[in-house]
Amino acid sequence: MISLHNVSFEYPGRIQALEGIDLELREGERVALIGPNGAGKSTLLHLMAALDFAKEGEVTVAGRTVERRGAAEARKKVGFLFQDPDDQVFMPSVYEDVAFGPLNMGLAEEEVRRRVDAALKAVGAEHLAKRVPQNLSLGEKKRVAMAGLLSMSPPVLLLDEPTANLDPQGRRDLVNVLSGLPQTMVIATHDLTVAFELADRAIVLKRKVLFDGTFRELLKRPEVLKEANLELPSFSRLMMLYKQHLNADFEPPLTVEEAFELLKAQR
Amino acid sequence: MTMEKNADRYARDSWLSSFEPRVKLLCFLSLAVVIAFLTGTDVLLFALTFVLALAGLSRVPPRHLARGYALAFPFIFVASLTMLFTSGPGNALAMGMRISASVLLLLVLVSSTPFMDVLWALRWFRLPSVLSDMIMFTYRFIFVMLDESGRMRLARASRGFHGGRSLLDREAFKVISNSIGMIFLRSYRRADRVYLALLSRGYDGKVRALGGHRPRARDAGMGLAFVIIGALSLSQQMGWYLW
Repeated sequence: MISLHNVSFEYPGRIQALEGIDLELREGERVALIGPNGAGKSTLLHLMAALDFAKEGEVTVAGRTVERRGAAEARKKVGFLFQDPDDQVFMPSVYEDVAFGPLNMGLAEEEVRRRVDAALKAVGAEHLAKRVPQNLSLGEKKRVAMAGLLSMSPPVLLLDEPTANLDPQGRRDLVNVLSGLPQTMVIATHDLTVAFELADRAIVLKRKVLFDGTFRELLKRPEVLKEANLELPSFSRLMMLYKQHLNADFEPPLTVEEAFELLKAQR
Repeated sequence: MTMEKNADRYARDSWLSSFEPRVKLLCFLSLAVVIAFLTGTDVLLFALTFVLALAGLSRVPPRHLARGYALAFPFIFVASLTMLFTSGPGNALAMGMRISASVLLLLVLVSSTPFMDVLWALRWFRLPSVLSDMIMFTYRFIFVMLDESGRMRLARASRGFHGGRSLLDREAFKVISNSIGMIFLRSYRRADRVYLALLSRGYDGKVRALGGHRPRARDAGMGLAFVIIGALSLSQQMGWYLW
């Protein structure tokens, strides 16, 4: 679905953001892009979304090479959730905002309304339809921004720090929405709890790809976690200590539920 | 509690919001133009009474309208004061009444009409899209900027800044200038991100919006009422009709 071959990118002032990135994302795959601040996560998402263009190498989305010319077509294939929903939700009402993308796709008004209703329902925001964006909470704004993407039905979703600054309930609501979606998904995040829950594959980025594999494999690579300034969720650290204490051999858990099952099994 | 920050927060509860936005915009703006031509205090009193009646019918809380009027009052006062010294008390009173009636009329319009409907009507009347889009973005992001400036004010206060003792306090002036510069810089960066977000949703230089308003019989009734009021005011002004 998305492939990057030997991609490098630098910002003006010779600031190298990405170097020699080779990646292949299959259809329906859910990938967590993790790494410290300034690792190039947002830049990589911008390249995949045809919002920036690689200086070297090639980015392909749904079989089409991403270039400045024809970028508008490439953007139809990907939905991009920005970190700050105030950058994204800009129309004076929620309904109008969710309709913005489908209207730009040239769809008939009836189809636009059908898509807006379906997208608002998918994120549980039907009751916000007539609200004014500036009066919404951050969690509500994120869900509205998500509805704005879903109304365009893109096959790929690129999510930049989707749970950043959300309170626990807002984070839970958004995770529930995301986990029910069928699209190919790339989630740039620091939040490993969310990454464990939503993604099947982890890509650790620090200008280059430091690791590409499953989370269980990642947990066995403490040097990668250290290099990328990542901290495991509390329950994972607890279970690693418990494992050392018991001198037992079990796979590190990725969710609280898995940790609970392991604890029960150890009794 | 989330504070409602939009100027049209009472629009949906207003009796006037049920009228077709194009008809309403045309009626209100035409009456504002008519009022601008009125000079007699008696006919201005008639127009002002009609505007106040509209304000009452709109069900927009008087305090909300009064707050908007208070912002315009210094300008009305200066204009009337100038007339007092140059053309006498009668003209000063007429000036005050004329501007007050127009300001109140427009306040009733924007307070009783959802903002998106006003924009939709402006677009229908062929307002250039660059202007209507600019109005829309300004309306949306002014609150984001106000929030940012509010956070910066708190950050200044938390580190002991209390503002200057006078307008000539250079240190205070420097701090506030830096803050304003920072707001501009942040706005510039935000504008960049907003533009990228627009591109990612298929923006091609034109903001499209859903339509969906049709004039009904009651809109014709409102149009007729405004035409009658406008005609009566003008005929009195021209001396064609005596009360």
